Order: sequence, then structure tokens, then C-alpha cells
Amino acid sequence: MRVVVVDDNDVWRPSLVAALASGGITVVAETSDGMELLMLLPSLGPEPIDIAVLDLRLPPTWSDEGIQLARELRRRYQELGVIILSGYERDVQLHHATQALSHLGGHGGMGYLFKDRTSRSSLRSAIHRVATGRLVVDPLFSQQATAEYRDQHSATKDFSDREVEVLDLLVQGLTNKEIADTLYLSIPAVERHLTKIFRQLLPAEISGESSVDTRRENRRVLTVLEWLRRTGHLT
Amino acid sequence: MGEDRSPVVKNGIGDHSLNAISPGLPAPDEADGPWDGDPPHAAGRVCPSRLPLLLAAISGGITMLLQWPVLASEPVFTRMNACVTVGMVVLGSYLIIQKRERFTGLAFVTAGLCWPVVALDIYPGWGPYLAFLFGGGATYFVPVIWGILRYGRPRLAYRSERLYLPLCALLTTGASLALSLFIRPEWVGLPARARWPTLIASPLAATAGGVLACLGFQVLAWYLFALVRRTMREAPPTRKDAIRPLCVFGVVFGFGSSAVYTIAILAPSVLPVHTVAIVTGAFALTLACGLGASIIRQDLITARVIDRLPYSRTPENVARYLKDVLKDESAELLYLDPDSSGLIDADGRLRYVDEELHTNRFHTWIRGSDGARISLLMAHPLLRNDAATLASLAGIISILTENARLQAVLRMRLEQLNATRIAQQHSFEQARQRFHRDLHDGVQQTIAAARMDLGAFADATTPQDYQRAITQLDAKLRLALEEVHSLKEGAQPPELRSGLRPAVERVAAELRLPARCRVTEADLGVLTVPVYYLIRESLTNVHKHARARIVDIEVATDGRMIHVAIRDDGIGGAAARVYGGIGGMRHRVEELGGRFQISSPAGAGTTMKASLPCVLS
Repeated sequence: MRVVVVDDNDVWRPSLVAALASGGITVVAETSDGMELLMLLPSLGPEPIDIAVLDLRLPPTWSDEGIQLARELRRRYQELGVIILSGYERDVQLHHATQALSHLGGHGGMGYLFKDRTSRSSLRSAIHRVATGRLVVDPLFSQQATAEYRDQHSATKDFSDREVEVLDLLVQGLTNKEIADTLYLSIPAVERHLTKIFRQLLPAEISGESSVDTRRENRRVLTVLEWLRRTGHLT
Repeated sequence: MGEDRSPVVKNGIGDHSLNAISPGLPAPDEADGPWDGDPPHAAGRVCPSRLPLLLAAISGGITMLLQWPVLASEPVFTRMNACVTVGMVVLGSYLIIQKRERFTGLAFVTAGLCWPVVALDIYPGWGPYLAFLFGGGATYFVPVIWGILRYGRPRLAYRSERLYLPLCALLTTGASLALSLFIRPEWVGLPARARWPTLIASPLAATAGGVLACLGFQVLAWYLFALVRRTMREAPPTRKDAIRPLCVFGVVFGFGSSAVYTIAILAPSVLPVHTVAIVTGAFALTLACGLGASIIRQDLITARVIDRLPYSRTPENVARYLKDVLKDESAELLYLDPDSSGLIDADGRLRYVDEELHTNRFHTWIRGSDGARISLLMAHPLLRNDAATLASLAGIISILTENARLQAVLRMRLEQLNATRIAQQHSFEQARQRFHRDLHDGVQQTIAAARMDLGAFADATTPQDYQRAITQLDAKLRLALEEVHSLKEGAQPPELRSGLRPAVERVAAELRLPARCRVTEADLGVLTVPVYYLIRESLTNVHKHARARIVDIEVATDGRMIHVAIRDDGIGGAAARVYGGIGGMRHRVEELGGRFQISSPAGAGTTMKASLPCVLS
């Protein structure tokens, strides 16, 4: 697997690269800002890049260059998986995360994680999930979103507690089997919950089992987006 | 004639202001007014205001005696002559005594005393000839004598005014003198046996000369009209109302008398000699009345100086009073700050002497009782022509300044304190943000990296792997400790530790902007941080939007102000587009008591300028 890393923090970047390398992931380029990476790209050979691990805040203005860069990379490699790895700032992150999730273009996988909530193993598994086109969001988001959703919609009973738990894990990019293992459910039980969730959240032509809509393939991603949108974290 | 009021008001103010008058203004003549020396009605002295009446009685008596033979047969003619004489003499002597307008007054007195000559045609010999000469020109002798006496004085500032006077003398006296050489007295309705210096009695020459003389009178009348119009246009706002009656009656006099002479010369049979004298006399009286009205109006306007004096002398009241008295909405008084020798306006804002004096407005320094400058009066440029009002105001403004200046200075100090407070608030806020950023970019990421390294133990297979992992972890933890220590230090952002200039250059380099920096080495105190952030935000804008090839960064200070200017040669149009946070930048600069300007014409680059008053650290 070919990965590029962009991060301006000289302490963090080597640790990150070492963590990836020891997991058998090839880091083909590591730079401290986006311009540098874009200039390096032509020299990286003809094979496509699978994953870009980007810091949210990069030079020159340290605002949201990471997302801008991701958008630019997606324009060049439609299938590229992007992981935005940012330092944790409670107030502004949700905004940037929704930006990243909803406006990146292309159709590769996508992850939004926090540096100080990531270990080697969780990072590697996130990278593998994103590489297969899935969406990975730090559990903090879905927990926060769920908590807020419950506060705001205490009267409405769209979802049972169990369904919310399934949704949380879905948002984190887990497969049906992983969800089943985590919640000690059978796989068919998870599928039942998911079917109900899809029906609740998605239009009939996408959610129905008999649907031939191409978007059906992306049901999981669309569900996560819709869930985040309903909980007010995606505009 | 306002004698009860005007001497007190006029002289009172005049004397009062003598000690404080500014050097640029002509001081009034040595006063002998009622407040200076003896009380006005001291025994054995004629009160100044009675002298005009005395003179009037004497001149009126002489005129009546002179016309004794026809006193009963021609009542209108004789009374009109007496009125003109008395009116002119009273006005002239009043001008001399009360207004110290010596030359104008003398001109009116002379004209008044000469007027009875028009009645000399009742006597045989040279009488009718003198009457002809004076009757034609006596009304114009007023401006002629006045003009010749005052010739070259500053009041006749323009060449056209100086030209008008000899032209008057030439066309009036010259024309009647020349005309008299070609006519017989009986042609103009005078006794045939009168002595007359006729050279050639030619009706043709007489008609030609008459037409020429009439043209001359028309020229004079229109010339006078043009002069009066210009005078009105250029009159200072304080005088405009006062000189209006004089100007109106002056024009009436000019056109009226020229019309009468034209008729009298071209058709002598229509207007008998005495009728001409009566009508011109009436016009001369209107001129005198116009002047009198102007004098009274001026006195009333001057009286406002005292009448409207504010009871509570706050800077606002003083400002309103000056606008009112000077009839000039642009008039303002700027107080000199005794400490910084800067100027302070009524709102307590700082102004700059250089900037104020560069404007086209009139200005004069007001001096205090000790002779030192205490304030600067700024007003309409034409006000410089009204030295009298300024002289009378100088003393009053001096007193008002002494009262209001303290308040203005206090206000300025308050504004400055406020600005200092906000500057500190800003630097606290920025320190807080910086702390968060340092925490986030520094120690937090270092610990996160250490955590990431921790995973190396799980991957390790050989003792060397373990050793390397431990070394790495140890280095990261030590770095984290150092970062925690440095967080505890310094309120200033670390990039400013080596000064503003290197910090600004670093920002420009990081943004990849080719920059020319001219940054002062002076210590800007507590404002260094806001100035740095202002420049950084501005450069970020340039980087994001301007597409500039080069940026000029300038920071200068004169000890009272800090001037920041950022110019780029980019695409401009910042006002039209959404240009990141310009409103916020303006707000922050104005909060600090400064001014913020941005000019960004499309295609011609953007210039951001900010000036901040220095505050005490």
C-alpha cells in the first residue's frame, strides 16, 4: 500500500511514518506542507497512491489547508483514500470534519481522526478500512452527535438504543461482522438493524433490497452522512 | 446710530483683547474708549459721541446760511442740500471718532462740506460755473477723495479697485470740466450772464462731449456693480450680512446718479439744474443710509460675541459658540496639549499640527495670558480678511480656552487610557490564544507522538528494537517537558522575542511573499503585539487574495503615532470582494483609538494604512 504523509510537526511526523512503516505500509512521500507534496507527486512513479494522511492545519496559514490539499489530491486521484489527522480542538473540529466529509469530491474512502486519540493499531486499522473505501470518523464525533441528538429529540423514538449503538459503530467504519462482535449480536441481527436504519434514513429507491440504484453500493456511506446531517454535524 | 450700545461693546471687547492678541493680527489703534483711563463723562470733556451732532449742527447752519436768498422760494432744493451735508458730516465724523475709520470718515465729511457748492448758482460771477462743476461731480468726489486718500492701503487689495478711483476722477471731474469749455451756461439752464470759460461754443462738440460723459458714467456704474459683487463674494462670513446694505445702496447710488446725469446732459430741458441736484442728493443720502445701516448691523453682529458667550465652558459649548459667532460651520478650536504639544479636538481626539496646517483653511494661534500658545483656531479661509472680528475674539477665545482646555485634555487622557486598556485586553486575549496554539501545536502533539511510538514495543522483536523504542520515547517525553516549561514563560509570542522586524520578515517568508520591509527599530511597547497581528492578518489576506508580485511593509513611529502601511501590486478590488476580515481589522484598530484606511482600486493593488496613537506601556 502506497501512502503519502503531510504534517508540519517535525516531532509527530517521524513517529507517524515509523508507525506506518512498521505495519508494512510504504510511505512514498512525507512533506511538511502541501505545495511541497504537489511538486513531488510527478516523481512518485505511475502507480496510484492509495492513502493520503494529512494534517488539518498546514502552512502557510494553518487554517484548513489539509482539506484544501485533500480536495486537490482527490481531483487527481478519484479513488484516493484520505485521512485527516488533526490535533484535538473541541470547538472547531466538527465544522472541518463535516467540510471534509461532504465536499471532498471523488469516491475514495475518508477518515477523520485525532492525533492524541490514535494508537499504532487503531491508525493501521483505520488506514485499511479507508483503503477499502469506507468512512472512519473518530468515535468521539458519533458519541457527541448521538448525545446531542438524544438531547434534542428525546420525544421522538426513531431509533431504539440498540440501533443508535449500531449507527455509532457504522459511523466508525466497522463492518457488519465487527459490529456484531462488538455488540455481541449475531450477524443477521446486525443486518436487521441496518436494514431498518437504512429505511429510516435513506430514500426508498436506495434503501430497498430490490433496488438497482448504483448508489445502493454506497448505502453505508450515505447513511453515515445522513446520520451526521440529521444530528446537525453536517450542513 | 447705536451710539448707546456700540461704543461699549466695541471698545470693551477691543480693549479686553489687547493683551492677548495674536501677532498676525493688526492691533487696534491706541484706544481712548470708556474702559481705558478716565471714565467717559469726566468733567470738562466733550463726550466723543456728541461731536458728530455738534459738527452736523455747524455744517447744517452754514449750508442754510449759504442758501439764504432762495430759502423761501426753493424749499425742497435748500432742505435737501442741508440734509445731504448734515448726513455726510454726521456719518463721516462718526466713522472717524467711533470707528477709527479716519480716511473714509474724512472723505464723507469732505463730500458733505463740498455739497452746498451746488447751490452757488444763485450768486452772480463764477458761482454758476462752480455749481456746474460740482453738481456734476460732487457725488463722485466721495469715492474719489476717499480713494485717493486711501490709495495703496491694504484694503484696496486689487488692481481693479485702484484703477476704479482714477477712472472716477477722470470721468467725473474731467468730463464736466472739458464739457464746460464747449457750452454756454444758458444751454444747461444756468444764468446767461454768469462768467464762463467758453473756448468754442459749439452745440456739436457739446453733444459729442455729453455723449462721452454719459458713457463714462455708465462705465463707472457697471464697474462699481462688478466691484460690489466681488466684494460680496469674497466677504468673510462674519461680514457678509453687515456689508449687504452698503453694497445694495452703493449700486443704487451708482446706477441712479449715472441715469440722472445722462438725462441732464442729453436733455437739459427735461431736468432743471436744481432738480438734478435734488435727485442726486437723494441718491447720495441713500448711500449714506446704506453705510449707516451696515455700521449698525456690524455692531449688532459684534455684540453677539458677548451676548452668546457660553455660561458653561465645555469644549462642545465653545465649539458651538465659535461656529455661531464666526457664522462658519467649519470653524473649530484645537487645544494644545501642554505635555505632548499635540493638538486635541473637542472630542478629546488627537490631531496633528502638520496635517491641520496643510489644509487650505484659515488658522491663527491663540495665546494665553502668559503669551504662550494655548490653542489653534481653524476657520473659513476668507476669515483672514476680517482682522477686526478676530482681534476682538482673540481675547475671548483665550479665556474660553483656559477653561475648556483642561476638559479636552482630560478627555484625551481618558481616551488614551481606554485605548491602553483595550490594547492590554487584546494582548491578554492573544496570549490566551497563543497559549492554546502552543499547547496544541507543541506539547499535545509531542505527547501524541510519544503515544504513537509506544506501539513500537508491540512491534519490537529484538532487544535493539526495544532499546530504540525506549530512546525515542525518552527523547519525546523530555521534549514535552521542555515545551511545558516554555509555556509558562513570556506573554509575548515567541516569534516577537527577537523584535518586530524579524517576525514580520518571517511571516512574509512563510507566506512566500516577496516583501520589502521598512520596520522601525523603536520599541512599540504594548502595541507591538497588536501591530504584529495586524500585519500578519494583512499579509495573509495578500497571500490569499491579491496575487501580488511584491509587498511593501512599512512601520514607522514619531513617538506619538505608529503608522503601519502595507502596499501590494496585486489585483486590488478588496472592497468589492469579500476580503478576509477587513471589518475586524478596522474594528481592532479603531478600538485602540487609531484610524484604518484601505484603498483597493480594481487592478491597481491594495494599500492598507493604519495609524495608532502610542499608549503608555
